[in-house]
Amino acid sequence: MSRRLIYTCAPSIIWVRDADQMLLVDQETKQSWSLRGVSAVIWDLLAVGYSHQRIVPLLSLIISLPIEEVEQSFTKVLEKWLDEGIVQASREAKDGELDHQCGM
Amino acid sequence: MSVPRESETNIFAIPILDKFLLYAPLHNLAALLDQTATRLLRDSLLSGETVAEECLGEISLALNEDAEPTPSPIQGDFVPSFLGLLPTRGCNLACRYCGFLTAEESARVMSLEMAQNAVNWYMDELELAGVSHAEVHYFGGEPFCAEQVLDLTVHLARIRAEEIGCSLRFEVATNGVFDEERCHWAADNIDTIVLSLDGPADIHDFHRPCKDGQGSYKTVEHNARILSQGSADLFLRACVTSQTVGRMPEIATWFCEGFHPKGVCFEPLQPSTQSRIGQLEPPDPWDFARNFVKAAWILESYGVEPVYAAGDIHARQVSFCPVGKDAAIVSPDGTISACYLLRRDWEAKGLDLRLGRLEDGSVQLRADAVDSARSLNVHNKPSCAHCFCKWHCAGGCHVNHTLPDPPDIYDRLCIQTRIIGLRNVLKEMGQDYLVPEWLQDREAVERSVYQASDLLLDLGEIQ
Repeated sequence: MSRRLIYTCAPSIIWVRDADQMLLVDQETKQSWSLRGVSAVIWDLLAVGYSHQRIVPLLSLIISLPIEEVEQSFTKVLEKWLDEGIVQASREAKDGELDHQCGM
Repeated sequence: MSVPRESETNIFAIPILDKFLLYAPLHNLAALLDQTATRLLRDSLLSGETVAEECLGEISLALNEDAEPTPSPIQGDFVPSFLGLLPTRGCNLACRYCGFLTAEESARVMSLEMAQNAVNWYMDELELAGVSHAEVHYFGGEPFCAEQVLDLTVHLARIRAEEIGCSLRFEVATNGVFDEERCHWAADNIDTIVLSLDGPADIHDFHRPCKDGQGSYKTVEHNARILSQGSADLFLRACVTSQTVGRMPEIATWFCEGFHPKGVCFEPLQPSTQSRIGQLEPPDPWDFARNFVKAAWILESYGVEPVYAAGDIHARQVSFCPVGKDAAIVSPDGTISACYLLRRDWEAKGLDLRLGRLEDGSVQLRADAVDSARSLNVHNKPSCAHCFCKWHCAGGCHVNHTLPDPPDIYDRLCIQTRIIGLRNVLKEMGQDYLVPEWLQDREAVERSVYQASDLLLDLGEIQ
C-alpha cells in the first residue's frame, strides 16, 4: 500500500454520527456498517480528507499507542475497508499536505 | 413581619411608566405595583410590620420565605468547570473591528502534544474530583485554522470521557470559513456552534473580509446552511455597529428564515483601535436596546432564542464570564488562564489572569492566582451593589467593561443591559405588552434606567 495515496470515503457511502458510533450506509447496495472506537475515529479522519501520513501520528496521540503499532492497525483497517468498498484509493497526496494551517 | 437584611439588598423597585416593577430575583418574584402599593411595601420593610392588604400580604410573605442563596464565589479546590482550548490566535479573516495581532501571535499554533496533555490533564482532574460532566470549548483566533488540534482533542476527549464515565459536550466559536468536508464534520461532532455572521452580504462582507480583501459572506452563508441542517445547536452571532443597529429586526427575520438557528446573539461592537481605523462605531445603547427588543420579538415568534448574555435574567452569577468560574483556558504556549482574551488586553487593565502553566505534560496551578481570579466578582464591584441586574450581568466583562465612577452613572453597557434586562423580566411576567409603550416613551425609559439605586428601601418619596 503506497503512502502517497489518499484514501477517501466511497461516493456511494453516506454516514452519520450517532452517540458513540458512526453509522455508514451504501446508498447503492443498502448495506450498512456500524463503526465504533478506533474505527470510527479513522473514518472521521478520512472523511475530512486527511492523508495516511497525517492520520497515523494523530491516531497515535489519540489512542496513546506507538506509531508503528498504529501504522499496522490502520493499514489492516484500510485493507478491509477497501475490500468492502467503503473507501477508495483516489489520488496522490499533495505537497505540503502535512501543513495543517489554513492560510492565516 | 421583618425581612432579613440580606434579602433587603436583593429586593428592587424600578419605575416602569406609572408603576413600579418589584423584582426580587433570589425569591423568584416579580410584580407590577402602583405607587401606593410600592410605598406600603417599602414602609413595611422599613418598619418590620406586616402589610395588611391581601395581595401585598402575599408578596410580603413570599419575601419572607427562604430565598435562593446569595450567589457567591467558588471556594475550595480548583476543579475545572470547563476546558477552554485556544488552538491558535491566528485567523483566516481580516475583520475590520478585530484587534491587531503581531505576526508572532498569529503564527502560534498549539502543538498536538500540548493539546493531548491538556485533555488528559482535564479528564484526570474530573475523574479525581468525581465530576460526571465534561465541557471542551474552543476559542480563537479561528480554531479551525488549527484543525488537527480539534481532530485530536475531540476524539481523545471522547475516549477519555467514556473511560471515566463522563458525559461530554463540545462548543466552538467560529467564523465559518472552512471547506464543506470540515463543515459537515463540525455539524456532526460539535454540540454547540457559535457562528459569526453579521448580517446579509453587504454588512457581512464589509465587516468581515478575507485577508485578500474579498468578502467571506458566500462561504459563511453556505456553511451556515449546512450547519443549520446538522445535529449541532447553531447560534448565530452578529456584531452590531452604529450603522447596522437599525437593521437588527431585518437581520433577525433573515436569520430565522434562512438558517433556523437555535439562538441569535447580538453583540454591540467593542471599540478598538482597529475598529476606529475601520470607521466602525458602537451603536447608541438606547438604539441597540430598542432594536434588540424588536429583534427579540421576531426571534421568539420563530421559536428562536434571543441572546444578550448580560441581560439573561435566568443567570445567577457573581462573574459574567469564565473568569472566577474555575475555567481552565489553555493557550498555544501552554499558559492556563481564566480568560480567553489576549494577555496584553488584561494587562492593559492591570489584570493578571494567568492561573498556571502546562509544561512537559504536567500542570502547575498557582493557588494565589486562582484566588485572585475568584475575587473578580460582583461582590467586589461597589458600582453594581444597588442594581437589579447584579446577579445577571455581574458587572460584565472584567477586561472590557470599566465600571462607571461615580457608581450612580450608568455607561453604555449598563444602559442597554438594564433596558434588555427589564424587558426580559416583564416578558417572564407575561407583561410584554407593556414594553412597546414603555420603549416609545424615552423619558419613561430614562427614569427606569437612570435610577441611582434600585433597592426598594432606597426609594425616596413616592408621589
